[in-house]
Amino acid sequence: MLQLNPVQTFRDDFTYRNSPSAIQRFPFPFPQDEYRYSVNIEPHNGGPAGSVYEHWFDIDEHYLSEIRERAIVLKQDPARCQVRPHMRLAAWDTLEMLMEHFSQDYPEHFTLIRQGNDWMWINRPLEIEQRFRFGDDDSLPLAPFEYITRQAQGDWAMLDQRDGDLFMDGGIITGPADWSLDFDLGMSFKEWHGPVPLAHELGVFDRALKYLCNIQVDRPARRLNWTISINPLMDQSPENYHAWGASRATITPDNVARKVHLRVELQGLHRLPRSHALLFPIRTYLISLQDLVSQPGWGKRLRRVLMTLPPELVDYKGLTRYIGTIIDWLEPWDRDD
Amino acid sequence: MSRIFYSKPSYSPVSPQPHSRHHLIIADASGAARAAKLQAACAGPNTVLLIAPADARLPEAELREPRELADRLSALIAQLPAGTSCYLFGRESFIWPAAIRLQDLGTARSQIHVERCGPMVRDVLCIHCKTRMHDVTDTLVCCDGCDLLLWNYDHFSRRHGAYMGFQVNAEQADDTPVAEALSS
Repeated sequence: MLQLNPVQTFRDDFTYRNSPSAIQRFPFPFPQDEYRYSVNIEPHNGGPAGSVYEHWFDIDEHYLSEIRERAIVLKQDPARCQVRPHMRLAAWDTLEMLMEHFSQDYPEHFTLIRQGNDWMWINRPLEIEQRFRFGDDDSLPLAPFEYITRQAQGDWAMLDQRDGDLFMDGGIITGPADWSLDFDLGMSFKEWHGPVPLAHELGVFDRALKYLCNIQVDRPARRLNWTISINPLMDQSPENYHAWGASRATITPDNVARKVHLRVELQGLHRLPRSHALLFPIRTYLISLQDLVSQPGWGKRLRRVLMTLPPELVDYKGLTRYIGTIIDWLEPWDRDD
Repeated sequence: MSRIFYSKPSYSPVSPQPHSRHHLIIADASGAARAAKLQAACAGPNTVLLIAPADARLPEAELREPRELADRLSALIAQLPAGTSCYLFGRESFIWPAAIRLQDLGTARSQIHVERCGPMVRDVLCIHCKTRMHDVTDTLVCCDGCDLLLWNYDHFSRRHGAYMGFQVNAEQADDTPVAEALSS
């Protein structure tokens, strides 16, 4: 049975910590000793028991902390959750998909009881027991998309599909790696990836878009994405960059192991059955360098990837000020033995 | 910054679409001259909507205030025949939100033609406090709302009709590039 930690923080005193089992199941994203740009999308058919791939939507020990963090961000900035009007059906699709999978995969924590359109949802960790009518917005205390994603870890976007393109037409984005839903809302696939260097020229987005537009119901896909965070800062948003940006200039050989975190996103892509939109969960995992090097081979692998990262990506990922300090600190793990 | 941003629009001169049953021409003050030229070149029936004071080059134009545009477009699209071509002339902050409005009303992207007119200026939206600065001419701009010095980033939102501005020296206060005039 999944044990949930008491609430920890992703801000101020940063009490977020990974248990030994969270470290072991961390989705380490580098398949080789060298950085390579690739589309890296694969079917999301499940994975080994206990791994982050086991279920469609992974819930882990940080559940309560992430739910609280989301509530703090939304209170400060309600524009972090927006759904364009034509996505109403997709919002109900999302609610159904999350309630079904949470209750099937984590029955000790969640229960869904359905009698026709009269549903009852039980979320034990959050002490919620909610009766509502499926499809009736007024029967829930919040709009359906916000209602269910406030009870889910990770960010969630809804991508409308039309004219062979995908549009960022809804989402709840409280833990982004440097992108803004309020700014990008309504953008096409290539527009919202506008700031990403190199990949456009390599044709990565053309291939990815084609793949994504062909995703079928019940045949989800996944990919991993990564960057670096200073502190376990979940809300690494452009909106608050003026507040967190200075942390990038604080890394020293003495604090690098504690403060620098590898930030990995497990991105899922799920076809929503009624609306034909794509649901795009972005589930973020954070691990400090000192925890990362406890796993065999990870320190060496990360160092080699960072040493071969193209300068455009060093700049885009915001690593310029401290990548050298990380590479130097990881050197003892990169010795032949 | 020399690399291409795929959210940043590029433009080529708009010409009348043959075989259109109707031409809907929409312009702000800076787009009036181009709108007049296009109207003169249109063979078929057309409607001109000018979101600006009266202009002698467009004597038959319907004049509207900016705040009336969204409602007026929804009434027009309901009346005009399917297969109407839409042309938008003016500043980026004007043409793109109007183009998004037309799409939301069911107009296909292929029926919407936009052309940027007027001086090389941008609207910049401060990502920190959401204040909007109009007619920005440089790569740096001081935010009217929160007073931070913003980088005028080449990431464009058509819905907002604005470029993203974020604090240029957030990581290190004394690390500030020199402002340059916008070239595109």
